[in-house]
Amino acid sequence: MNHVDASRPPLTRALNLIGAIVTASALVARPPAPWMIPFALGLLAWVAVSVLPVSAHRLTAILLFVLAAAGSLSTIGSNGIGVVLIAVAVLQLTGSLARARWQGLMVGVGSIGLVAVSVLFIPFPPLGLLSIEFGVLVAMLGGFNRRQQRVAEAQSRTLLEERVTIREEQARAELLAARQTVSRDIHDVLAHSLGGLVIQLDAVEALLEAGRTADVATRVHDARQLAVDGLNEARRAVGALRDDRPSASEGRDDLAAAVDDLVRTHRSLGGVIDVSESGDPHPLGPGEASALARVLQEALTNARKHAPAGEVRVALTWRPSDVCLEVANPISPHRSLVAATGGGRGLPGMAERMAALPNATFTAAEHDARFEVSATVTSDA
Amino acid sequence: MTLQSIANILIIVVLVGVLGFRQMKWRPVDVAKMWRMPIIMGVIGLVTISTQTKSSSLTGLDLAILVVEIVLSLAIGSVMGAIAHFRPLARAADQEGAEFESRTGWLGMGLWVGLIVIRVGIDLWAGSNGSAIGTSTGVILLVLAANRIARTAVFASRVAKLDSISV
Repeated sequence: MNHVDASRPPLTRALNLIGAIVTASALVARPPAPWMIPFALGLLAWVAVSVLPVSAHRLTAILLFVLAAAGSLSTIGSNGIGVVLIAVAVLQLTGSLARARWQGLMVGVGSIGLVAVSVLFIPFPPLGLLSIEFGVLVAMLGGFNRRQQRVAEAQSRTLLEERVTIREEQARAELLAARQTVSRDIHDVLAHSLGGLVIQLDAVEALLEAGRTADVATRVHDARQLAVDGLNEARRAVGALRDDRPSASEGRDDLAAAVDDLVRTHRSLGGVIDVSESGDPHPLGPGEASALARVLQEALTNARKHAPAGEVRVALTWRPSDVCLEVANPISPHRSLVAATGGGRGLPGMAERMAALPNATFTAAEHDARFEVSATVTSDA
Repeated sequence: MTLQSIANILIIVVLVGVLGFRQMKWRPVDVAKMWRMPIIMGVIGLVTISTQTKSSSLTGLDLAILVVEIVLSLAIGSVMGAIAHFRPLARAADQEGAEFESRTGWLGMGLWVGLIVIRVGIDLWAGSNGSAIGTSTGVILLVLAANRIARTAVFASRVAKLDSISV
C-alpha cells in the first residue's frame, strides 16, 4: 500500500492524547454502568492509535475499527458522548489517503447502524438519535473533505514536478539547438577559409616550382589574410552564441559588407565572379543578413570545390516585400582537389539556416548544367 | 389482513421477482441509468413516509428500526455489487452506452432473499414491541432504494477501475 501521508506530526499525536483525556472525564463521578466498559475500551484504543508509529498500518486500522465499534455501543448509554469516539475513528479512516475509501465508508455506516441497534433495546428520544446519527454523518463528510484536500495537494505537487521536468528538457533542447548553430557556423567558416588556403598553397607550390619567388610573397600574404579572416569569422560565430541578442547594427549594410568581402576573397583565389544588385535595399530582421551571407559563403565555397574555373553569377534582388539571393555556377566535369574534402554538410547547413528564419525559402538544384542556389527572405511588413 | 398489507405483500413479491430475475441474467452496466430507479424509489419512499407518518408519533424505536434496516440494506447491496461478475460487452468502439455487462448469480439471489427474510423478521419483532413503521410502504421502498444505491455505487467504482485498466 502506498503511504501518501507517511508522517504524523507530534502535535497531532499530542492533540489526540489530550482529546482522549478530556473525553475520559465523562467517566468521572458517575455511577458504574454497562456502557462504561466499551467506552473505556474505546479510550484505550484511541490512546494506542495516537502513540503507535505510522508503520503499524494494519494494527492502527484494527484499533480504529475497535474505537468506532466501542463508541457506537457506548453512545446511547453515555447520552451521546460516545459519538466523539466514532467521529475520531471515522475521521482518521476516511481522511487518510493510505486507506481505501470503502474502509471509512464501511466504518461510518456500520457505526450509524450499531447506534440504532442499541436504541432497539434502550429507549431513546428520536431527536437525540437523529442528532447522533447526523454527527457521525458530519464526521464522514469532514473526513472525505480532508481526503479530497490531500488528493488535491498531491496532484499539485505532481504538477509542479512535471513543470520542473519540462523546463529542464526545454533548456536542454535550447542548448542542443545552440550547439548545432555554432557547429554549422564553424563548419562554414572553416570550409571557406581552409578551402581557400588549400588553393593558395597549391598556387605557392606551383610558383616555387616555376622559380617565381617574387610572386610567392603576394600569395603567402593573401593566404595569411584569408587565415586571419577565417579566424575572425570563427570568433564571431562563437561570440554570437555567447551573446544571442540580435545586434542592432545588423541589416543591409552588414549584408553589403559581407558580400563585398566574400566576392573579394573569391577573386583573390582566382575565381571568376559576376555580381549584380538590383532594387532598393531595405532593412533586414535579426539573423537574416548573416543567414544570407552564410548562404553566399557556402555557395562560393562549393563553387570553388566543384567548378574552380567556371564563372559564378551572384544576383541580389531587393523587392519591396523581400530580398532574393541567387548564386549559379556551372557544373564542371573536372573535380578540384578540395572537392574531396567536404563532409557533405554544406547544403543541409544552408537549408537549416534558412529554415530557422520565420519567412525564408531556400532551394538548391541543378538546372541546365548549372548549379543554382536561391534564398529568399520575405519581410513581415 | 388489511388492504395496506395486501398492497405491501404485492409490492414485495413483484419487486423481489423482477429484481431477482434480472440479477440472474447478464445485463449491460450503464451506471448513469442504474442510479435512476433507486433515486426515484427513494424519493417516493420519503414522500410516502412524510405524508403517512406524523413526526410527533415517531418514537426512538421507530427511527432506530428505520436506520438499522437501511444500513443492513446498504451493506447487502454493496456485497451484491462486490460479488457481481463483469464481462466486456461486444460493441462498436464509437457506440455510446455500456461497456460491460454483469450478473450477480445465485449468491446474489440468496442475499436478496436474505435481505427480505431479515426485513420481515425485524418487522415482526418491531410489531411485537409496539413499532409499526416497518410495515409502511414508504419504508419498504426506502430500504429497496438503499440496496440498489449501494450496489450501484460499488458498480460505479468497479467500472471506473476497469476503465482505467483497459485504457
